[in-house]
Amino acid sequence: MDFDVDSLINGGLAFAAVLSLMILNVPVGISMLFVGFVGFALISGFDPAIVVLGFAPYEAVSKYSLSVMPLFVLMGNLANSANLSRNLYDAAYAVVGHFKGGLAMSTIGACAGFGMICGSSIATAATMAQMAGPEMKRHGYSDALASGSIASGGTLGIIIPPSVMIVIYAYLTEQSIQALFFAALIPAVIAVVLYMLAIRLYLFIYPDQGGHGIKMPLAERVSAIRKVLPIFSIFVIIMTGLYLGFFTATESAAVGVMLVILLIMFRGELTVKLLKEATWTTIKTVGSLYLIVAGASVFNFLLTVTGLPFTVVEFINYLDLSPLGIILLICIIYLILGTLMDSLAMLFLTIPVFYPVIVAAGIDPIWFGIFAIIVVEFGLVSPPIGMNLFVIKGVMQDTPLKTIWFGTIPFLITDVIRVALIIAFPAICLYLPSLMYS
Amino acid sequence: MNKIVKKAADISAIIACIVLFFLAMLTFFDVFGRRFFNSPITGTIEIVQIGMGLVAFLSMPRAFYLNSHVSADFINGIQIKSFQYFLLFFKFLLMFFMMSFMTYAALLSANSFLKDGRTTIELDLSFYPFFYIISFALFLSMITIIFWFLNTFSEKKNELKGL
Repeated sequence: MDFDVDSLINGGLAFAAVLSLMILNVPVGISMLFVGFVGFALISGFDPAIVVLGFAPYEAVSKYSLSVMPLFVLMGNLANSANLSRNLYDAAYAVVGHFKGGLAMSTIGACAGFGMICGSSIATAATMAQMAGPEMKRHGYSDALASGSIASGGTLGIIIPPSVMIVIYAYLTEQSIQALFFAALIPAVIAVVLYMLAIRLYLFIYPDQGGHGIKMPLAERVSAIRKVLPIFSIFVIIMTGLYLGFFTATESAAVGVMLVILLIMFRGELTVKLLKEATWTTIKTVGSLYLIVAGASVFNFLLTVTGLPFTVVEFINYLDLSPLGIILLICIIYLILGTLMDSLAMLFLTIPVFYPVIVAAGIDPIWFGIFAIIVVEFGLVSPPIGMNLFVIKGVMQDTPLKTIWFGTIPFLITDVIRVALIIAFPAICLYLPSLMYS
Repeated sequence: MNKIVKKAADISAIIACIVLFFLAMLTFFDVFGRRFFNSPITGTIEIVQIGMGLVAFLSMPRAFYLNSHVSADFINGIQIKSFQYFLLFFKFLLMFFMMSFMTYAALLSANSFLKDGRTTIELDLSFYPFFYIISFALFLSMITIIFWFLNTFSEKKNELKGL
């Protein structure tokens, strides 16, 4: 064996300590801060540890590339406060609502639309649960299909740009946010199509679990679609601006915020109350997200002094795994962690270790970013701590958690198919970024 | 006292809101000025970086007060009185310990920046005032953690009365 066993043990202990603290209900950020600080102090001494604690969290949270995150969260919250999600749902309903399973498909469509302006899976699931849940129940949809489609549709929020998870991956690996946003587009479209197919197939097997809505007259359908055109325009402006290099990711987020404010103003709905509500929610999210960023910055110092990322690379070399073997191994680790850990924590904890491994194995980092985010998505709908499951449960309180989880199974199967597709055809992720660079 | 701490955490969050909005507008007008009038706003990146640091730390006290930090709560289902108290106390101790050390560390950084007079490159802004604000925000987080603990402890006491 030509790798440092001590480093593997020290790093492994650090991970075990963070996991244990998280299981004991300690906030993710505090768990990482504590283990990072104490571990670093034990290895390098108290004074260097205090120095790290004094500047690493500030350095991490003030990174320019990360400032895109609160701005996109603000954009999503503004859209949410202005009830733009209702328009998205109505438009999706106008297009597919009259088909068998149309309401569930509308939910998926609306989730995808909402994902274009909101980078958070939980926010997407929470917004849609309030709207689509009662609607589907009224039309006789089973609890499983209704809740499953919302929980899974919510996961689209983290793959459709602008996504907070993509920004975090870009921040952790110093990859281009633009390239990652474009890499996510085709997998996101595949996800929407596969989710809709899953609904049709589910209702083919269990025809009594869902019906169809009323077909709207053409004029009403056109009117519903027209109402969401400005939202799509904002998405197109952001993506085109990024593609053409007209602005950076942070600038695109600021432009997005201002455009959403302008849109709300033109609709005559801009009030101080709305702005206050949106920023208040944003600050609450930002406070908790940034604590994790601060925690990860100190924990990464510990990982660096233990040399764990390099030892893991050496260990993988020792195992002589092929790139596909490495990907499958990472996939299994994510699936196991997903049952225990929040997706955000999973990304922060694992990427600094996995990233050197995939780079050493010659795997494209942009491709890996999309792969990792899709696999991490599984955790959002996996028991026992799938966040989306709890969000849906919070809104649809009379639906048992078991039923919600059962409802997500058809969608999880399509997720597995999607992962298999992007492994088999990496161009699904890499084609659009390659156009950017050419 | 509880009300004062909540108010202080809210004010800190309001300042974070204002800074965030200001940064969004500044960045927007920088892009607008650069692309359409060929005159970008000098030092936008530096202001955004410092501003985001302030947003991050000023938003933390309220997040602590509301206990809105991301945590895995599946162990909460274990309804054993002593275990629930242990969890609460353990969480409080760790949070308080970490925030105290962070406050101390940020204060040391602020003092050292004051001493060596370090400034930003483009706008020549001194770092130390921002680090003093950050250490104050962290101190406020520390205080809100105490009040969060006291409030949650009394809620828990009522909740677990029947067990």
